[in-house]
Amino acid sequence: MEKENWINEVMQSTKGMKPVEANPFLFEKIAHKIELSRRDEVQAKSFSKGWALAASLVITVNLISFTYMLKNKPSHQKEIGYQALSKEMGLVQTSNY
Amino acid sequence: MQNKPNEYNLQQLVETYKRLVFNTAINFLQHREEAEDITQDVFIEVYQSLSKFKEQSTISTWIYRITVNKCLDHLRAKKRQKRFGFLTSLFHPESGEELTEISHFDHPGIEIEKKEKASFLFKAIEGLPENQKTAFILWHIEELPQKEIAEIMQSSVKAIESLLQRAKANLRKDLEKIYPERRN
Repeated sequence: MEKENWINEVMQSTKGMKPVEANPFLFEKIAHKIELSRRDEVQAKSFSKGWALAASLVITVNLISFTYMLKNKPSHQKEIGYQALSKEMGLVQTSNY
Repeated sequence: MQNKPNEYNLQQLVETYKRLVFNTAINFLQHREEAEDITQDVFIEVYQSLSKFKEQSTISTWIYRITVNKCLDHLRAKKRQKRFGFLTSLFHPESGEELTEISHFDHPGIEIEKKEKASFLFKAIEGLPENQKTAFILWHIEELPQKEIAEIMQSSVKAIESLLQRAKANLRKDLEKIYPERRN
């Protein structure tokens, strides 16, 4: 009986509990945290923008050099062709002077 | 309610709901500083997802839901940390990891004469399974109607009723075990 009473009292012990006040500077703290996460986001964005710029620069340079190579390839092939033809026709200069 | 959140309505939201969030957090976490941190995190999430709020429930129900989820996540993380601490202490006894149980919680909103009994109740609540704990705290301490608890927990009123019954039975069992520890 005593035990039952005690348990009932324990179960009812939170009745009439007063609400606890939160920190008076709660909003300022939240605003500060939001500002920090915003700054982090901006930093992360500018960092990724930097990487994107560097990557696109590398790709552009590669593209330019590739097109340059493609443009020069036919004339080079032509030269090889001429060399082969001149060899065949005995027009190759063999002397070193 | 404006769709685009700005600092002005965040401030309004904080002012209106800070008591609700902080007190729910303190009842779940039984730790004032941790409850303050969680309160801040709750409002940051509210701020970030306010545009996604579809008004299918009231804003207080939505804020309650975020608070409960944050508290449960925090408790889970703490439990993991405790387990890890235990393992570390097994391999490195000199590391001095904390193995002691959380001391009896002294709720700042409880009358002095009820403090000791309330600390036994909080200790017993701590041992309840997550869903029973949530239902019991929201119903018994926050004094919310079962319909709202069902909305917060995205469940039915019947399910909440049964959770509460099981929670009360488990608490009584636990308190019976604690009974010899009491002072008077």
